[in-house]
Amino acid sequence: MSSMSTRKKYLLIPAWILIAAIVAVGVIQSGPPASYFDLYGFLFVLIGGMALVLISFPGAEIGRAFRHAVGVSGSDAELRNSTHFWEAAGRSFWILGGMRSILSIIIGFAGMATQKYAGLPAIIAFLIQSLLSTFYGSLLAVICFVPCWKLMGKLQSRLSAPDAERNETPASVGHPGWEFGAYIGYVLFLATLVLTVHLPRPLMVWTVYRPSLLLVLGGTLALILFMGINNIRLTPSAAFAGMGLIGSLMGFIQMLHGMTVPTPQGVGHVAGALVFILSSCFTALLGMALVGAPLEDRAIRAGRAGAPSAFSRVSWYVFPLLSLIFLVLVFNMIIMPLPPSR
Amino acid sequence: MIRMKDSIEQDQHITREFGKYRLAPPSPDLHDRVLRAARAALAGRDVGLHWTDRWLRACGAFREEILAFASVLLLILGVVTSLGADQSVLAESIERLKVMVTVSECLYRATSMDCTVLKPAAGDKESRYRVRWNAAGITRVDIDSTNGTEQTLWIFEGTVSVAGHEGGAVRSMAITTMPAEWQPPMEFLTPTLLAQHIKEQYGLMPAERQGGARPDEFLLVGQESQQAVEIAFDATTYLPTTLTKYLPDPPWTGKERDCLEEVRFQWNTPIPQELLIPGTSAVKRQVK
Repeated sequence: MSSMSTRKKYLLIPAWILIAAIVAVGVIQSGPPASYFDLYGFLFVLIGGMALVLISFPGAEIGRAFRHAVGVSGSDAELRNSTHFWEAAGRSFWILGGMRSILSIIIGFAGMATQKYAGLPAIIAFLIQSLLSTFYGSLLAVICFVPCWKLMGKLQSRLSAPDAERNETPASVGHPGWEFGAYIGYVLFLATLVLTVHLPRPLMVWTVYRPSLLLVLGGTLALILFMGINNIRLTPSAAFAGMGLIGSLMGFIQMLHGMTVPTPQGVGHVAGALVFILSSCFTALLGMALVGAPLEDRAIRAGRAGAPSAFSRVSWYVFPLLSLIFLVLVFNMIIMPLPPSR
Repeated sequence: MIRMKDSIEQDQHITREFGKYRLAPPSPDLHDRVLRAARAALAGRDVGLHWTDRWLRACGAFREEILAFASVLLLILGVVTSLGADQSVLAESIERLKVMVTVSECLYRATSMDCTVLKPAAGDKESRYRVRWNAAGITRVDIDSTNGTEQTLWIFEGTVSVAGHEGGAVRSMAITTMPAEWQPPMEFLTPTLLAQHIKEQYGLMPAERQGGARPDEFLLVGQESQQAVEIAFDATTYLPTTLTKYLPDPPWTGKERDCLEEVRFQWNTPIPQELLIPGTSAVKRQVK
């Protein structure tokens, strides 16, 4: 049995080399190497994601999840918790990648207000930074999903195994309430946000986000109240995503109205609408990351829910993608000239 | 019969015994007394609490109402602020860029350009250029300099053809070898060059005060090598109508700014074909 596994291991080495060679050839064939480096974007996604994990999980559970990821065995309940941890970590990086994408565009345009020249090359640089953030987010998310999927497979194989091989020892779950680590997580996240976002005038954040922040927050509260505070289907994450989508659609409608008036006033309306779309998406993602997801994680750890609801999962994984699509649409709208009236 | 009598007696006995233990009906004010006692006990417990805890307890009782009020307030404030007149810095940046993109696109689509460049000189004199360009890519420049000499240039694909005002043979040369005194303002030779200057050199942004513009125009202001640039654009076609360059004056002097150059544009009006052929008789007196 052991000789078989050793032979299998040796056979895997050329397979890995072949895969690496194929990837290398692909990269070389894709043309001159592009720069995939954006320090602030990477730091925001990495440290922000770690902060979000700290908000939802205590240190002991994080350590156990890492041990399980490297192959240390545990009880079914512990493995289930670790699976949940890795999913939450991947989700956090994915959401933050989307959030930083929008933030990069916002920072770029805010910086442009103080620059003399406003040309297309400058905003293409913002779009590159945006896509890089999504790239970092998705890369880190995939890295976290690998142990998640591995642990899920392990759990499933145990469930299908005879009862004797199963270990049903309950996991020693930490206190599921608001712990000290959660406060550290929030402080770390805010510190990351402040240190990696350079705005010429920090007060402009309020003027940029004011309408969408108020609408998305108010709408989320109204949705939760309307559906009932303890409704398990409409989670805060789903409510945030729903309001972010509604806000974005409002922005698109306002933008189209602005385009029917091809005068500088019309351009002003279009610009305001584009800002509204970006800030609605950003507010919704921020709400999901800081409020929605931690609440749901806490509910799962406390045993009030077995797993994240389907609506929440759709919000976490689809809304950042939708935001990225909106971002590209907004970018297109900015570089597309208005049709002049004849 | 005896049995029946016995059982009736037994029933009566049982009823009597139960009657002894039956509870008296509650007095009418019992409910109120119990409620008052409960309230007194609750109030007594609240007295011992800190005012913030008492306030939180009171808020907890109306949690849903407070949340509903907050959500309505936030929604109303959001709608009001989004409809408000003040624009964010971000929207101003996007607006600036969108105007630049639209102006550039309109310039690229122009089919003809006719512009007059006026440069005030010492005294009442001024030098004057008239630049005419058509979609075929030919530019004609009529120069009327301050010393009275007149010159006409035709520029096409990097070659300049020159004819003097007195007529005579037309000479051709590369645009790079053209004497400096003939060099017309290069930024107005073609709409493409003008668009490039507008995007890359002037650093234009919407003027704070649009007072200098006509109702169907909008003003953009910028700077180029220590000169203030002001361009009025037609609000419907997005094409420039007037470009003025000023000497920068300190803002506190209150003096009228010294105009260095004024350019007036006409767009998409047909230019006679013979004017764009080097050496034709129509060369003469086309400046004014």
